[in-house]
Amino acid sequence: MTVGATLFAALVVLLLAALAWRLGFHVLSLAGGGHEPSAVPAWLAGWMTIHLLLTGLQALGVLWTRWSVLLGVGAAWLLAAGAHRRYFRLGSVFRPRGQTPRFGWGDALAGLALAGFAFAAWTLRSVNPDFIFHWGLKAKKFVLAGGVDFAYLARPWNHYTHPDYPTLLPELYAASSLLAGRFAEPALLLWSVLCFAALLWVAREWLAEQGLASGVRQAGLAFLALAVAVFGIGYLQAGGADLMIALGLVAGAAALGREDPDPRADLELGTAAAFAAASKIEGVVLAGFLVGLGLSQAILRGQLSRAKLLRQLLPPVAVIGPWVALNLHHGLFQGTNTGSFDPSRLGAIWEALAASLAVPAWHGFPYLLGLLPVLLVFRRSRWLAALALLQLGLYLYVYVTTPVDPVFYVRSSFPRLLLHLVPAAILGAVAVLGTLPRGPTTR
Amino acid sequence: MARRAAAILILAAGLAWAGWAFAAELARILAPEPQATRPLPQRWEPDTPEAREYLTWLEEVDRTLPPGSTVAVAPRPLPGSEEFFLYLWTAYGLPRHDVVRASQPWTWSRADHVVTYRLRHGDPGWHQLLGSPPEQVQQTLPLVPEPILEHPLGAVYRVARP
Repeated sequence: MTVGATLFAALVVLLLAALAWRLGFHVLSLAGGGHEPSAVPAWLAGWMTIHLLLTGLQALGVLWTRWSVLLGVGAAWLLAAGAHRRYFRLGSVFRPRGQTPRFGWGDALAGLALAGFAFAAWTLRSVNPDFIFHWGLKAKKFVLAGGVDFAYLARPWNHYTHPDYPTLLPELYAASSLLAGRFAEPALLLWSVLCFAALLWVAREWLAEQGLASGVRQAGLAFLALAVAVFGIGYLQAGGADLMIALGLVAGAAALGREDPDPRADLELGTAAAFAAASKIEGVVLAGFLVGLGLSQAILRGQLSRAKLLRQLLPPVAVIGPWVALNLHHGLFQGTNTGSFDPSRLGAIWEALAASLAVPAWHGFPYLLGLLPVLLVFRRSRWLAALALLQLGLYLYVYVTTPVDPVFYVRSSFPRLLLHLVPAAILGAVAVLGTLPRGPTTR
Repeated sequence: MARRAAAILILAAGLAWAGWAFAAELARILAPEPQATRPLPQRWEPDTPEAREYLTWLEEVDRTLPPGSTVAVAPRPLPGSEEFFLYLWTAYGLPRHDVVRASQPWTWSRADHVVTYRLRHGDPGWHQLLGSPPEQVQQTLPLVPEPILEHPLGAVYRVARP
């Protein structure tokens, strides 16, 4: 493939991502009664809308082609933008909460980390093996089939591709490839770079909302960016879906910690949950944790209403409902997902977990997870810590119940799964460090 | 004041830690890697010479096979789970076809073609791969002995079904 063709494919990815941002902005604004969302939730809502649109096209028997995808996404954008203009006054594209943080040295370092990861992805030096064996292969099949290739997924010898996994990522690859007219790996890996950028953006906004000193915010963002880039490069994370779960967790925790009088926080929580659920199978459980915590918080505060329930619950249900129905219809759920509890494995699992924390590509950052129980005490970090601990508990449960060799399972997956949790630990620790002189609050 | 200083010190140490690790990872991917250091498929990446060569060969295989073929992958004996990883690379390189493993009787029995990797018809590695005594290999997986495509990396054979 020529350099020009690859650059064109990259341009298509960036344009599709930009279109998703605008689309999600209008969709969330409409759903929120005209309240305009922050940048990252709008973006995630756009990705979700494209996912639902592709699912809908397939349900209607429309093959995914360059034109059906272009017309479908374009029409959805025009409809949403038109309705937004018709019913609500358009304000700025993105309305940050509080004062917009000024660009600083930490932002520059975060940009450098992002550029490093982008370089590793673009030059194919950090390609996740699952891009070849799972996500990318599925995307190729979807392109050729003109939709999710359920016949391929249902064949028993293709079980290694995790046929029951949610399909957002291969759909994004397939849509980009159809629009570009080619399957250009360096261009497709840019979706991971965009995910990393979104993670940094939502973290930057969250740090700004915590009222921390500028130096602490800058240091925190730079630390987070460098740590994630280190693992992203070293453990070949371009093309995988683990950054998406990290993004869903941080975006969801940020929404949980907001006490906006407008409906934005609920919609952003629902969007983060839907995004996580569409990304990976463990994201479906994360979506449950997010909505469960969100609704529990509303009940405890006496704020639960039908509208709140719908705003938090409808986005993930719109993703999880069709996923469950299609998986059941095509018999895709795998018997190897869970098994019976076997405590005799705990010793071996513990050793494998310890070895995973120490993989060289992590450079020791996962040990920060040891702070999570402490971070639960502090108001600023409690949601990040709670979600990370719940996810960690889920992974441990799966390891002690898996019907496959647990040591192999832990060693081959846990270092990647740590990427879901480490950003939450870093952000929580920075927020607490930045407020230490005042001590913990119990509000 | 002391706690504020401690917080600044911890953040500075964290930044130094992350900065050092980032520099180490960048240096690693920028360093030129000696050629042919990854002969086994599990360690291939899309930019490693072995993977590029194999995927290029599979493009030729793809053009040769009838669309929608069921293709069994038959590599020379490879250590550990390497045969499985070669199979995964083959599936990635042949998306128009259904790719199965010659080492799994319940899947290769459906194959109409076989693509080999550093293995030729009649080589002793076949019985090890198929788990059959050498004299029964041809009965187990009846190949038309003349390949329909040959390459230094392997060959494509048609399965002779009765």
